Amino acid sequence: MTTPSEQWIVGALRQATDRMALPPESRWIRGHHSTPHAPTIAVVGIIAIFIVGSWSGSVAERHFASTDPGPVVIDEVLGMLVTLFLNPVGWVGAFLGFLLFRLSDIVKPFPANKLEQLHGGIGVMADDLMAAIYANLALRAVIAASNWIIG
Amino acid sequence: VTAIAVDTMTERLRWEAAYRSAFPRVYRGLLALGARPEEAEDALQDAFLKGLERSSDRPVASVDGWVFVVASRGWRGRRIRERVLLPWTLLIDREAPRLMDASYDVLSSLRKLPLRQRRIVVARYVVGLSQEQTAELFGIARGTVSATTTQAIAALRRHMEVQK
Repeated sequence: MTTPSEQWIVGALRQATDRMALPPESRWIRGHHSTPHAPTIAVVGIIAIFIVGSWSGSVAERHFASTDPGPVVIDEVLGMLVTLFLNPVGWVGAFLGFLLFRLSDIVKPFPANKLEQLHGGIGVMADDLMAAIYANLALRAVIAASNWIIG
Repeated sequence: VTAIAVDTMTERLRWEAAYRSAFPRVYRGLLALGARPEEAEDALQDAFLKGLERSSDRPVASVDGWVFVVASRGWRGRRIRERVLLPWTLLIDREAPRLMDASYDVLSSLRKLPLRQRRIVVARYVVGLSQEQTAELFGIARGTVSATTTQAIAALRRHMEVQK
């Protein structure tokens, strides 16, 4: 800080920021994080859908007389819930999660390929659950990588 | 158990007082960096809670500086997530408010600087940290702080001359 013009710039910066209005003091401390999660509700929902899906999957297999019948999509619902679990993303992120989940569901990395062979509704749900766990981790990695690259 | 509870409460009150004292400068610093008011509030909120969670065995050299560094990183991370992962339609009108007042020329020029320079200028001249504190908090050499500040001020001057 040597020249008068530099001192003037610093002075102008201080003056401009000093004029910025502050929020009311009551909002300075809220006592909770700005992005409250509801992990408990999500976990309960995931477990409930897994149980209902396993039961209804068994019923559907008997009804359609086939293994993992096409009309059954509750496993994909479970998969998306698990993919987005604790991943704070918007619609674009959700779409990316969907693509990652579909990719993982098609590739079926170990042990998803083994879980697919389980009998009944458990087999319908378990492989998608495992594929979704991989998709969740992949989405998490994408978010972390974007933070690291750009930030 | 009572003694531990009292210690915890005392620690919380001490941190809360330090945070409240730091709030105005850090809030304005975040706005100067380019944060929207609600983003600055959220980032400060998270920094406050992180400060509560961190151990009192690791005291910080400057509470203002620590809150600024944590809040600015939090703001940046959130902004990146929004840019990368939110739909473009939601980003309309979500940029930092435009600065219409002529006296805010310096702030609009500041926002044109690279984030690294902006952070150091704001830490030094808005939050009021010394060169040593800035170097320690950002994990860089004191000479780097000095050189970056000089470059940033020169760039600010150039931007403002162009505006004039």
